[in-house]
Amino acid sequence: MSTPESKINELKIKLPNAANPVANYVPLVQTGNLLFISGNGPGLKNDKTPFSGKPGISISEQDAIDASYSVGLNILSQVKKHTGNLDNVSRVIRVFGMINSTHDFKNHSKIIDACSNLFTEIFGQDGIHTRTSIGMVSLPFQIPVEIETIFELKI
Amino acid sequence: MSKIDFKINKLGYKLPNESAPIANYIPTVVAEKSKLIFTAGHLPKNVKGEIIVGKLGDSISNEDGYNAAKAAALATLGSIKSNIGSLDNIKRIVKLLVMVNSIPEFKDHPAIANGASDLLVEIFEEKGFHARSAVGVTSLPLGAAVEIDLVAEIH
Repeated sequence: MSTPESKINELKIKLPNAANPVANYVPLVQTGNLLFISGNGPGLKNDKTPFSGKPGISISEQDAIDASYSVGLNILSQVKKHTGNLDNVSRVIRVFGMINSTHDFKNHSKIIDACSNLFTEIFGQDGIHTRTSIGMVSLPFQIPVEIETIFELKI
Repeated sequence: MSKIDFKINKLGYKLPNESAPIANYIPTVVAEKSKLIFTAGHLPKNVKGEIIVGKLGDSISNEDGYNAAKAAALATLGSIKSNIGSLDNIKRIVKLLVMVNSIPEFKDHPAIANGASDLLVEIFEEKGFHARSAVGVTSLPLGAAVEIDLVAEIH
């Protein structure tokens, strides 16, 4: 049977190192079996340059989509670091996607889908979640996407 | 008819069906152990079923924004009912996030968000009192004027 961990191996996904918070907060807090995970940003584009800018203006929409996927990987790293094993996740509850955007941007769904698709690929049915997407006037370090999440654990 | 359905009818509101998500997510998720239901961000629709678009402080009036917030809150209830069967199963409304598509100088967020809060308190009375955040965002999916998500405790 396929599990989240076997799926990661099968897809040859290499999870990045779980990043430390950039200020006075913790990466996640567990209460009961709910895991509240801080806003995560993307890693580097092709492991080289930071993703930066507003989609459609200072970064291409495709790069913003890739950034959203990268954020998804960073979130999984945090969860794995905390629980030791992604098979301990019972389901993904909520994705809150924030996009660095212009005032007339409308394609939020297309960008946040890259993260959502990653979660459903890894966790199957249990990866399907509620979601809210919004456009922000700015984000830390001018990243194009920041995503906050709630996961539920099997405990 | 459930007590809450009766109340909704008496107040003259029409509960919409579950909102169909516009991308890879679902309208509601129940965290079984915590007895919490989370909704996705819901967009407001008019009587014709079209999304209410616009930017507060610019292309839509505060009164229309208030009514849009009301419509979006009602949409979350339609989705919750479709998941848990009856709105009588709501123990209380916990938290509301109201996102207002607005110009940078906009200040009347509370007046807009009250559209949602007034509706919830009208329908659920003391069980309808909730924690709330209201924020101005630079853009919303599909150009919507308001987006709302909420967390409720269920029996």
